[in-house]
Amino acid sequence: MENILENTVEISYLTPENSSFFVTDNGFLMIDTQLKAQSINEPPKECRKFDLNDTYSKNNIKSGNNGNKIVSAVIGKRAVHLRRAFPFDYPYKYISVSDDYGEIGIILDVDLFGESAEYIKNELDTKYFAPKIIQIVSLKERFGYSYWKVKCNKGDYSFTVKDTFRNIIHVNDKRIFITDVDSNRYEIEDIYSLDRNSFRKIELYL
Amino acid sequence: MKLIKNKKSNLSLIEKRIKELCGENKPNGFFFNLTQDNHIVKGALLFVNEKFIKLTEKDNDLEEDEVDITSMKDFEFCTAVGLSYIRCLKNGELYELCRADMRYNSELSAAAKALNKVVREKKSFDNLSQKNVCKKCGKILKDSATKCPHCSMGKKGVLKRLYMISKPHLPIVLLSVFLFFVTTAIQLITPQIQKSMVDNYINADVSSQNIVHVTKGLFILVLGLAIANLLVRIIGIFRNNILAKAGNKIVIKLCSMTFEKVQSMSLSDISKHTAGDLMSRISNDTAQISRFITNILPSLVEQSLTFVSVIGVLLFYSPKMTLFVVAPIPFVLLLHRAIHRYTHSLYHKQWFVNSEANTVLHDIFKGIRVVKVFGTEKQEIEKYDKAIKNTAIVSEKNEIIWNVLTPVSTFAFGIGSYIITYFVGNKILEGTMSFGDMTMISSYVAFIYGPLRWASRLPRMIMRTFTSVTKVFEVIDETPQIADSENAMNKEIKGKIEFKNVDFSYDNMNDVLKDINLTVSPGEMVGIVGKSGAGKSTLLNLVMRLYDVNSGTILIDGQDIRDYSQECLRSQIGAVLQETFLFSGTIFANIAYANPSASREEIIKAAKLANAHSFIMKLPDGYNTFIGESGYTLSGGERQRIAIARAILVNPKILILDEATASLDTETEKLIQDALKNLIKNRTTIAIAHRLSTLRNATKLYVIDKNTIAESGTHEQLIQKGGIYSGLINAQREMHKISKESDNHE
Repeated sequence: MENILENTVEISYLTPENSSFFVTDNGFLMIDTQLKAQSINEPPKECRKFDLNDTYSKNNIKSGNNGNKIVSAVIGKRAVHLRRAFPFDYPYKYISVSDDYGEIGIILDVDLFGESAEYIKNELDTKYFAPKIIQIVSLKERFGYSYWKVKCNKGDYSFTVKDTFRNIIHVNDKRIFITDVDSNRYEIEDIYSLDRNSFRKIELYL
Repeated sequence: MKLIKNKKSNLSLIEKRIKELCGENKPNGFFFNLTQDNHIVKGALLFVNEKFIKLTEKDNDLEEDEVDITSMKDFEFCTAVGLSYIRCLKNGELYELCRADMRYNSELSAAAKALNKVVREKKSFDNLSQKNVCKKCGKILKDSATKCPHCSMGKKGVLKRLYMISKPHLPIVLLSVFLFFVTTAIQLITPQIQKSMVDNYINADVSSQNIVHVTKGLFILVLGLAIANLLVRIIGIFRNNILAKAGNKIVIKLCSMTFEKVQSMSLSDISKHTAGDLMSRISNDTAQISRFITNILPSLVEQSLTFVSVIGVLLFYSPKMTLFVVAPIPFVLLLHRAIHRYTHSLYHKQWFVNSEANTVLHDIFKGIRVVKVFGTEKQEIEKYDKAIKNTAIVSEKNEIIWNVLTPVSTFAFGIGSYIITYFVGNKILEGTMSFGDMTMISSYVAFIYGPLRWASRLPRMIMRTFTSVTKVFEVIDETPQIADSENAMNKEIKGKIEFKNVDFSYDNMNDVLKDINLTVSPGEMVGIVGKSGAGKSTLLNLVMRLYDVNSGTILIDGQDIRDYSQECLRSQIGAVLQETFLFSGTIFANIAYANPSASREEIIKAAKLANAHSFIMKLPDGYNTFIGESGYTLSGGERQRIAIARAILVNPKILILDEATASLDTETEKLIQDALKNLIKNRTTIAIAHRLSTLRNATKLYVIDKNTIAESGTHEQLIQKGGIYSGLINAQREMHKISKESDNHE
């Protein structure tokens, strides 16, 4: 029997052939492509409406499908949001690219984009924020909350975790994510490369 | 998340500067803590003297910029993963104003809204620093939190709570303490009797005395020992009985307190906890607290009493000996303390793996249909095997630790007794002590180790209780977000509903409903139409006051919905929802759920109106048919009709239908439509339906799109308008055609 996925679904892939990326002076990643957002799941919010006088939206307004005021999507140059489809497995592969109107397509591998790959990677790195824990200074538990003092690549932090066991995600045998009460995330890339004291403190929760 | 670095100096640079700028006034503005390239900073955007000033402190450097707000517009709160930021258009170009981690999420979101108001409506900047802040430590609380997790109840608070709970039972607790005094006293005397027994009779020079006299004396002493022992037991029985009674009362009181609280919590409060979490708080934690008050606490008194008095007696006999007894104690306690951390974590782990295994089991049973359909039994067995093996490993470790620890510490405690035996033995050889002294002293020494062994377990028991107390009172102390006003009204409503400029969001960040204005006259039926996720169900939740609006008002009969008591309101609103929940019990009980005083005739009438009577009568047990998890399984349509009967029986003034006919076949839908027709007669009705035909009786339709009302009018008016509604109608006709054609092909 024919596989149902073959003819019914198509992924729009973004490649250097059909799109290019650049960064504005203000540090926003932009795309230039004739592809438009495929499905408009979430209608643009009021404040996202582009002003016709704005530099990047001037040429982008296309009339809606039945001629009325609904703007379906834009093409050309515009700002994009990136999301990792498999953030734990492939940080720079399977990247979903969307503009304010919806998903434009998927980048299979960021490295395909040669020089602009750096922009994309940088954008990804700055939109996924999780300080990496290097050392656990102290870890105390009291009444269902645990209180952490840690050294991270971003500096020293103290944070609180509720229901500690459940708020530690095990990505694989050695990599974990800890989510605190504010839903900030902290990463330990390799629990076994922590120093002995740090490891002993966290061992109870592994 | 807070940087520790700056704790040393009292005020950081930025705090100093804010003080300079604002003086004694409360700073008007908000904080952030990241730069655009994710460097940690301390940042603030202040509104001072009609100007915006951005302060950024990084590595002990303070940067100060004036923000030209007039060149900016369209502020937008954006979220990424682990951070959020405000972006806007500055001179037509995208510009990032500031960025922060999740801690400042809601602050930033509110700030973006306020900034837009400043630019668009030329309003002044609202003071944003009046956030939901913990009064104790000043940390920002999450919107939903009523209690600061950073400084949750301290030990003092816990003790106060414990006292509060046990206060009504204080006489019993005191009586039991008194009884402990009595038993301790009796127990203290027994070694004296033993001594006299050995010295005066057993080890005495019998030949010099009258043998009959000696036997008689011995008999009296043995009898005395027996009576003392019996007395201790009898008092023990009495004491345990009264304590058990008091304990049960405490458990019942705590359980009902917690349960009542849970029931009075709003939906948004409850959804913060999982069902399992609440369940364990209600059943397990309350039991632990009662165990502490009626068992651990009195034992604590008893054991310390015994300990102190025995030490006293020993000191009286020989201070040197007392030293021998007491000397090993600190070492053993230290040993216990050293391994406590480890054992504590093991306990924790054990608890966790157990609960994990249970979760797996629960999951599998709940999803058993999916498992069977996809034939993944093997996979699930493996999953469960793994979970259970984990439990086994951890519990084995635990057992080993305890099996080693207990004998070792018992031995260590007992070292003193060997020293004493040697010491006393020498004294006997010297002739300064008698055999009786030896018996007595070893009895006392044996007494002293009981409390010690018990004390080594004490920290664990206290810890566990304290955790339970915090857990239980976390629920009891919670202030419900939706509370009745002080003079809440109880009056019969006619059924006029008005929405005036209603805004609502679940998380204070993303608006689900924006600027909703609508009016429903009494007895009118209004339909709500829109794509899924547009906010239709949310609108109905607001009518039922399951949540409170963020701004604007909802009026019923011209009176703010918040002025009615919740009980009054909900008792006059009936709802038939898409997901019908039937409680386990009989069909009769389920229909009568919200009106238990209904007569049998009324129930049958309601079932007839709901088109449920005929199918109920086909069941062998009729209205007594047991439904629910272990009972008879009803089909979706049947359940729906029972729900309708339930709503009919309440005779609500306002009726809410949320997709009441979705996911039913056309024939069943017809039945339910007819049932509903009976129900909505002369009743204010708000209905959501995907199948637009359901709404053909509606006098007015509202189309919700992009979180607000996009169109309104009658069916004909909207068709003529040719907007969203007519688009939806056309799409459904297409669908209908296609499904008909495919039916014909078959």
